[in-house]
Amino acid sequence: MRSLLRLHRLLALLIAAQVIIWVVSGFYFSWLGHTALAGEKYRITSAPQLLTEPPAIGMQTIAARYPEAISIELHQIMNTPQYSIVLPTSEVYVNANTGERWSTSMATARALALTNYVGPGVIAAERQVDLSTVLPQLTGEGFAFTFTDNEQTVIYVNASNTTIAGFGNRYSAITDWMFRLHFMDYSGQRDFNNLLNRSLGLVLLFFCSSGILIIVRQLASRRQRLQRSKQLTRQDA
Amino acid sequence: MKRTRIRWRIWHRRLAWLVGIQLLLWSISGAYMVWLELDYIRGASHTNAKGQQQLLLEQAPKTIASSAQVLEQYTDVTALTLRRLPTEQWVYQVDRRYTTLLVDAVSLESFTLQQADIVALANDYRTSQSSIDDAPAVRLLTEQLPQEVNFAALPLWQVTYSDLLNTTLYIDPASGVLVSTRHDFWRLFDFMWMLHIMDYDERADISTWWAQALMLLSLVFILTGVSLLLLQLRRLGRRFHA
Repeated sequence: MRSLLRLHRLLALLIAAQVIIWVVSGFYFSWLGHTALAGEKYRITSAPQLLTEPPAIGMQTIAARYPEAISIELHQIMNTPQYSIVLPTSEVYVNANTGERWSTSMATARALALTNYVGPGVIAAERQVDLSTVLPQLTGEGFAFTFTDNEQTVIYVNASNTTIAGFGNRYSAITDWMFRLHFMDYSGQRDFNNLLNRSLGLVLLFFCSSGILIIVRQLASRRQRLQRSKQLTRQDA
Repeated sequence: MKRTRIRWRIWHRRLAWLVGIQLLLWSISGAYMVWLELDYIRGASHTNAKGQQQLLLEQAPKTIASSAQVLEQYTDVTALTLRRLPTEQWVYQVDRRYTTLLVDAVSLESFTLQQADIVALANDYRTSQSSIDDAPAVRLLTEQLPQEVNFAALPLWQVTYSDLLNTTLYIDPASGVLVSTRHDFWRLFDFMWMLHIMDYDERADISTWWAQALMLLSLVFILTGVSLLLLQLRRLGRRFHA
């Protein structure tokens, strides 16, 4: 019993701070909820545009240009037809009228952001961003549009294909740090399968198990003591 | 000093009765989730949602219709996708405002995927060739979705392999697109996620009041434990100096 208590205390010394961080960050996630964590309070998914006219560049031309393609999709983004070409390990986006690589202007990105927003605000600030610095597990160029609503919603647009890359709000900076602390991935990529997190996860498991064992043993010894005292009382009687 | 320690210990024990089991469940579920790679759980290591059939238009028996011809024949189109099915058929997936249909890329006639097509597609989506089963159990779900794909829309093809992990692929009947991959490690992961967030019904709500209450109680419990530890360390320090 003593050695179990010692082990419990030793493990507590090791992980007490991280356990507090896990509980506090867990409470933060629960308190804010999915929508606020993702910054999507004022999000609306815009309906896809109708393809009214065939593009200037045919699908066969694109297929000949990318012989390794698995599929080619034609759709329209902000009144411009776009080919989305799925290759075995990547995706390529092409302007279906010019045949050139897809590019996004600030005006197009702004128009897309506005069609995916239903809040009361207007755009207060717009800037070009490196997506890897603002959203986990994303790379490449993008645009950020900050709205004047009470949430200070930010909409990120991916410049490589003019799609919504993600949302943010006034809690995003704290949320990002809470994820870093909860997952112990201080790079901000929100990878919870890292070695540090795995190791501490196991230590916590041993720590909780030892705690439960201590309670069970204490309960058992208390029962023994009670039984013994009852026996003694009976003998005395 | 001794009295304070005893008081803290009593509170630590009392709170342990309240939160001990849930803390153990959090640690078990957390350990399981961090030890299994997320990509593996999502099925990325044994299925490829893109499929593996390259277009290879030059191998098509007849000339493929152009997108202009498709748009002439079908209205309300929002997206057109050219693909080659594993059954060596070139198709256009025509996404319309409210429906999706598959159209033969040569004749432009729409058609419905049959059970044999679904098996061929499922085998194509699977990347772990060794465990491919030629005759998986195939079912068209039309009335009720299983809990593991409750986000999807009906109807839905369910293809279950008799491998070690009971891998199940869910395929959209209209487009043949892989909707989801499920296997026993995913199912256990989902169960652990349920225990972790304490939403025993939908397994999606992270903001239940009982989870928040347990977290606050756990925080108090941990703080009593830390206080006990500090008192113990102080006692040891005094003994060492004496």
